[in-house]
Amino acid sequence: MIKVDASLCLGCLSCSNVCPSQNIIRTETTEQRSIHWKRCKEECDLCVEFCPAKALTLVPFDESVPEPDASFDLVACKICKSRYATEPMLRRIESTLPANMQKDSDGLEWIRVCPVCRRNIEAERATRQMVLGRSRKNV
Amino acid sequence: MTKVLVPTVCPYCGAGCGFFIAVEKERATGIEYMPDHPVCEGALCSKGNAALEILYHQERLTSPLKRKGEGFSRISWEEAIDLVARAFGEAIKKHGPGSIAILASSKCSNEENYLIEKLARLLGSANVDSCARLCHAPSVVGLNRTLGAAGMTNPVPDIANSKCIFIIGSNLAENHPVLSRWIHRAKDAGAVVIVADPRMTHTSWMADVFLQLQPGTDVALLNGMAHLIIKEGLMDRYYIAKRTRGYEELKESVKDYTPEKVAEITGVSAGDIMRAARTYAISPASSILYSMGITQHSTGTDNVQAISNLALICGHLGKPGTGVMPLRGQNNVQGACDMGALAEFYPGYKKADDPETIKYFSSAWGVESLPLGPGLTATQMIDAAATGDVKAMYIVGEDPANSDPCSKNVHSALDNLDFLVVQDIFMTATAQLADVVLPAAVWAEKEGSFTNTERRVQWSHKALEPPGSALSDLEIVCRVAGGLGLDFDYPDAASVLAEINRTVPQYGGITWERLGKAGLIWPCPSIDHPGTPILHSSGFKFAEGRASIVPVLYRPAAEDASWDYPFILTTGRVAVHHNAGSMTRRSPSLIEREPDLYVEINPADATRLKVDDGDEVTITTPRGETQAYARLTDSVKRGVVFMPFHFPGTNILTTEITDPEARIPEFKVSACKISRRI
Amino acid sequence: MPVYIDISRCIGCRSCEVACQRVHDGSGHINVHFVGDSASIPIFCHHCEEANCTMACFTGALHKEGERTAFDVEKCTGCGLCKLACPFGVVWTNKIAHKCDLCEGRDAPTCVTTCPANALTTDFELANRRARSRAARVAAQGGRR
Repeated sequence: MIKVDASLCLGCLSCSNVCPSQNIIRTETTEQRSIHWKRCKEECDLCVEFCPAKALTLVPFDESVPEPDASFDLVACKICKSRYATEPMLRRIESTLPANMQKDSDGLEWIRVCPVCRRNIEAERATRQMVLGRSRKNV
Repeated sequence: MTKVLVPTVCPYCGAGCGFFIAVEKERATGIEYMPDHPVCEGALCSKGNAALEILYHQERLTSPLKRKGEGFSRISWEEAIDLVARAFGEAIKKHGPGSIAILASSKCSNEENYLIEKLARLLGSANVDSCARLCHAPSVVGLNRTLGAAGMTNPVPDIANSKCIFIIGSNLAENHPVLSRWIHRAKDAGAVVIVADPRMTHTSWMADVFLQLQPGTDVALLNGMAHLIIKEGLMDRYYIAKRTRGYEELKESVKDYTPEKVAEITGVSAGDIMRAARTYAISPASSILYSMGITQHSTGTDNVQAISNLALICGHLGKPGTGVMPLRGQNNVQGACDMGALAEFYPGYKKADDPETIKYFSSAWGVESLPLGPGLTATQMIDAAATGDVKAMYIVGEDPANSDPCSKNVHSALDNLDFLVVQDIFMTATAQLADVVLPAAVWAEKEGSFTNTERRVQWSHKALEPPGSALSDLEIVCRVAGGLGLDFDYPDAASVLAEINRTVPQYGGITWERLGKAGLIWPCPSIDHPGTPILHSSGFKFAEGRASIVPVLYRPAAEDASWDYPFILTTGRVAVHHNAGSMTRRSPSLIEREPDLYVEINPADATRLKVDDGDEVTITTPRGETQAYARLTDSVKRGVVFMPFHFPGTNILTTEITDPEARIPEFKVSACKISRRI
Repeated sequence: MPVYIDISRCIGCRSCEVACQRVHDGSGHINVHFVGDSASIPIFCHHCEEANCTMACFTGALHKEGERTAFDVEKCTGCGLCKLACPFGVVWTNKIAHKCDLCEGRDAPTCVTTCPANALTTDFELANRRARSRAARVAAQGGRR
């Protein structure tokens, strides 16, 4: 059965996606994501292999061991406040990318901003000069 | 699996883009673009890209229906035709042929529209019209009077040759998107773009000069430009002397339209008016592109004539890069007009009140007599239905309950008819009021020729069979005619086109065999004629080849803001929807991008109304009220609000007052009040 | 070749969105964003040379193939790290990831062909020329346009 090192778990749901027997249950509200690993007797190790954080291991079946749980508060986007990711996932991105790529040309820590706002920021930046020109023309 | 690519003409706007429908095992599986199409070059707007979504929609009408209480029951074609024939036969017998009225469809092919107007007239009724009445009727009337022909004078690709493109009353970036590529090509080559619109639209983003005028003040603006051009001697004296008549009267009529006076009327600065006027006149080739913002007014015909005057005094006609370009909205509204689906014209723009016309068509159609026009226009038909002068109506592919102004009156008028038969692809609001509903085929399920806004006639091929018992409009009209004792023996669309070749001189050489890839642009009077992309290059079809300059004076719009109704409501369209929305609101890709009716309000006005962005508000005019979501934007000036009419509700509010000549309602100006829904 | 946008040509008609969605079975990869009342611009994958999404992907599903940032759906576990790694927000997840594939297998990217305003192109020379002409005009007018 599955043993989880909660300190490593990112809350990414890879394991839940790859499990062929629906043994890993996810529950999500707007604010929180919870994962519950059921006691399983399967001998496959897909969840172990496909965990990006190597947080899962297989141990012998034992009824007395409680089924592992993990809960994550979803982080709010700095700009629109919508909840878009777990904290460990964001930390993981911050660790895989070089430090100089984590702030954009306006100094914004874009990793802490949701994808929708990232697109909006890109749109505003790309059209800044042109918008100025168009609005001055119309004044 | 063999995949067949069937070339069709897009069923949406008047740009007439071509694209292929991929058909596998008798089902449409996708769209392929047409890179060598002269207008779109393989491009296709959001509506065209979503065109297949209506084909297999569950609400497609698949069986003839008969009214049963509040709903309908399915009947056979025999019974349906019988009911229609009986009702129309009775109306004609008891009340005369003037008591029946037929509305043709700007989405039907030329062949279908030709047969529809022929049906009406062979039944003895002059009452046949189409939605051109709500759209470019002023262009048909005005341009026929001034230039002798009603249609875009230069083709779309020619826009790239223009050095000054004056776009007035048109939001072509959203409604004829492919035209944008030609305008940008002109800009790359140094063209200047002038845009005049009460709103800052996507089209205004292309402008070098933007004139944000008050709704309904176009004649003042255009006369002001003419005044300045004449004052500074920028007109084309040679062209005026050789090709026009009426210049002196125009010069006299615009003498008081100084930039300052016009600035006061329009709200556009005198400086901007002068810049626009000078640029338009000085540029070597200038074109004017216009649409509903010019035509949908109680002064629509005047507006069109003012545009025509401007082009004539500057000589910007008859050569590449110039022109007066009415941008037609529907895929075949130009064709419907060409085929005489108009109260005041027989096919080929022969006037319906001219005995010569009657002689010509009586002979062509082998009958003793035909009704002398003009008949009732689309808007007058509704009035006549209300008073009981019209007893029976046959409406093909049109939705007056949503597209005509003052919806409440339209509903009660149609309810008052003894008999209403509606032929359509979906159960529209108009079809809901019918006694008999006839299920029709969409563009992909039939073949025929369609004429786009450039006067380019293109053949659209049949890709699929219609669903259930639906039939092509051609088939249905022939059956209805047969039921009424007329012999409409046309085995296919090509045979109708052959008759059109014989009876409509402008289409004389536009035979089925010649309608290959790029279509043909009328006038094309004979088989060896290549078509006429640019009109008026060697003068006009009037005496001495001279066009008429028809002076017009500024008259304010019928409604003005008042204490009770302090805002001016203007209506229009958005990119992802089309007209009354019967097709686009049923297309998932499109409705998800613009799901609800909204009203654009200037933020300063909204603050005073205590309305926030997204609040539901009630908009009221003397005609009625509607709810919509508020969208706060600076694109409308204070005192002006905007609503798209793709959703039922907008036309509950609009005024029924029409242009006295063209009889087009003033959709663009209604006085309204707005309050927050508590 | 990745796709380039001429921002002055975008008319906000959203044809690229509808077309991309249509040819990718309902999951489109291009979004038009409106900036106030005065501009619109489609946002889409840049096929970055040093693509963050490929760095974040731990299975190699996202990887570079020449200029293209390619996606091997078989290797995807739906972890969503790629979505968070993309600075432009143009990687989406719907159980598994999906992103612009430059319409592999078709003659040209669909958005490029369909754009009515001819605003999208894969021709770098053309895009470069347009952008620099515009910038030169801006410079000449003292930065006003």
